[in-house]
Amino acid sequence: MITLIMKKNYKSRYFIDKQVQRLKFLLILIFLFIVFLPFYLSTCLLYAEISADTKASDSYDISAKSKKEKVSYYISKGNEYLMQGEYSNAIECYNKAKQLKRKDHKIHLLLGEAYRLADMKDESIQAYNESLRQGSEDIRIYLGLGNIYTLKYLYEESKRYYQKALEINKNNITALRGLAEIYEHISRYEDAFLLYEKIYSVDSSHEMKLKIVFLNILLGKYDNAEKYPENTSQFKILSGYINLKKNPKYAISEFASTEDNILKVIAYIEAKDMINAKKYLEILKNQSENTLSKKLAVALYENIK
Amino acid sequence: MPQDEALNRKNIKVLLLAACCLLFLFCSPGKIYSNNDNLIRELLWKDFLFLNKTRPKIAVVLGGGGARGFSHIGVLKALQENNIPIDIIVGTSAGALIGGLYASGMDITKIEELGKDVGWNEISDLSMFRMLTLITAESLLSNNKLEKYLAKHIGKKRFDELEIPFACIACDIKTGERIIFKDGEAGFAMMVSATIPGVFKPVEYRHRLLIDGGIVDNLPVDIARILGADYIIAVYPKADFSLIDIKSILMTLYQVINIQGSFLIAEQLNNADFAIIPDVKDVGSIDLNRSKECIESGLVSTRSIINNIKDKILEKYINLIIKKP
Repeated sequence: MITLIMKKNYKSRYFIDKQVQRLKFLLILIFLFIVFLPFYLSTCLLYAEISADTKASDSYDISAKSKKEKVSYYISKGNEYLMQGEYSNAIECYNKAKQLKRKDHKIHLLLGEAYRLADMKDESIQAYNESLRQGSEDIRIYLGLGNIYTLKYLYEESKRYYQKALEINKNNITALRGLAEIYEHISRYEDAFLLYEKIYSVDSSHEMKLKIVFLNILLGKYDNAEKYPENTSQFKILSGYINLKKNPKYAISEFASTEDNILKVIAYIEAKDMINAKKYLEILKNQSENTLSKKLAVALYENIK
Repeated sequence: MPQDEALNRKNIKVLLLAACCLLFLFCSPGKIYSNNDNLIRELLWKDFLFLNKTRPKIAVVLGGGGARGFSHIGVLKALQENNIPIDIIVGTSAGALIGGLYASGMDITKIEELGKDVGWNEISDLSMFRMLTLITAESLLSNNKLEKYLAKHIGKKRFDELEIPFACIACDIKTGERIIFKDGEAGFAMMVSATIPGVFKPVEYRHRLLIDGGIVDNLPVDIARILGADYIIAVYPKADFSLIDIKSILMTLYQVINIQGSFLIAEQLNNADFAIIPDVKDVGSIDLNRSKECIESGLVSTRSIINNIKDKILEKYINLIIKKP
């Protein structure tokens, strides 16, 4: 009997405790709601006011302008959006300008640029072509078309446009780079190399250097490749590869400070150091990123086992 | 001014976003890894090509598909420009025509030009009157013109005179047997392999009546294996059947052949090491006027997956590249 009463008391106390806890939680919520609601509402109002102000001033600005002024307004607004990376807004503005003035190659060029940046390839090609049809000879059209056709894997067209850009300015770096990349894609390494060398004379960046070294290796000109020493990971991979062909032991020291990659494993195997080869093979196998080195390590591990 | 405030706020947001993008571009491991992947791929590919005599043989199997087969030109062009060696070619129907021309040593740009210019007039005696009487006619279109067309471009070369080992498939319409051509005159075999049923007259050859090989085997992957291929790349330009407009008896018949053909190739595709399926959309078997579109689709489809092809080959033969102790 006593134990039954105790059990009952225990149950009712537990029930009360739980209710109190719930009440406390509810009170906290109400408190937070009361405190933050005005802030939230005032922020909403402020934003609404700002956007209403902007819209109102915009519509006032537009309605008060002449057709010519409207066109330049939409163009400058579009340019502003383009600079900010808001491509869809830029496209909207340029299209409004286009509706007001259909025969203006500059608007079509800008539209082409905005579509290109928004990755709308076909629309961009159409706009650029319209600009060309209307008599524009702006180099940006050829550069833009070259870029888009490369992204569409249509290298012949791309090459044609980059060459046209070079007819306008034979030293245009974007066109030279675009053309060099195409040659690289279609394994015309000698042609790509000559262009990268030309670019390197004005832009001796790390990237250009890497391209030159890489192409020298692909062309089998290891001695030329070694003329451009650098201390970065990718350069070490390349110099490691050169040493792999000459002396695997040196290759190992080159690869020591790079990201783990399959060439490191190959260097150990060729230096007959199977313990380290297996060690790095396992490291690569367990990598989280699905890199080419990982895939090759998995395949090689099966063979070595 | 509230407008200025809003503009400032917007500018800060844009700056923050730009900073994040730059940080991502310069520091993301994905970029570092993908760059390293490109370097490693090309370096190992160079080593793979240097294997010379010990290098595994790569075969390209070109499937049938009528006009869709023009996409093979784009595929071969993309493989060639990326230094992917082609040691064996096997083809059926349109695949036999393109593959045979390529195996004969004809330059791919020349094949591309031929493909862009070819029409029914160049390969058959088709005329408006013929077109109208095709269904009721006793004799179908003659393939003499196709034979002459091929003779003009590759001459009387025999299979063993071709620059790349080549084989093609035909079908004996009397027995339903698959006939493999790998000896004799290549041009004749290519013509027989592309004798589209219902359009061209079947060809009488050694007591057999031969038609297009695509009827029995539209993607002869197993033949490439028999010819000694170690790695097989199968190319099958598959149409989106739902997009094809069926307006005539001929189109209905071709649709039936297409559907049956797609079932036949499933197993052969599985036996290939790599499959390239050019996206030819709604191009029908007899749309020779759409050759340019098909060539482009073959080119784009292959260029977009070229790294995958190299990676798969390297994965399979990485052990051969290493000079073992």
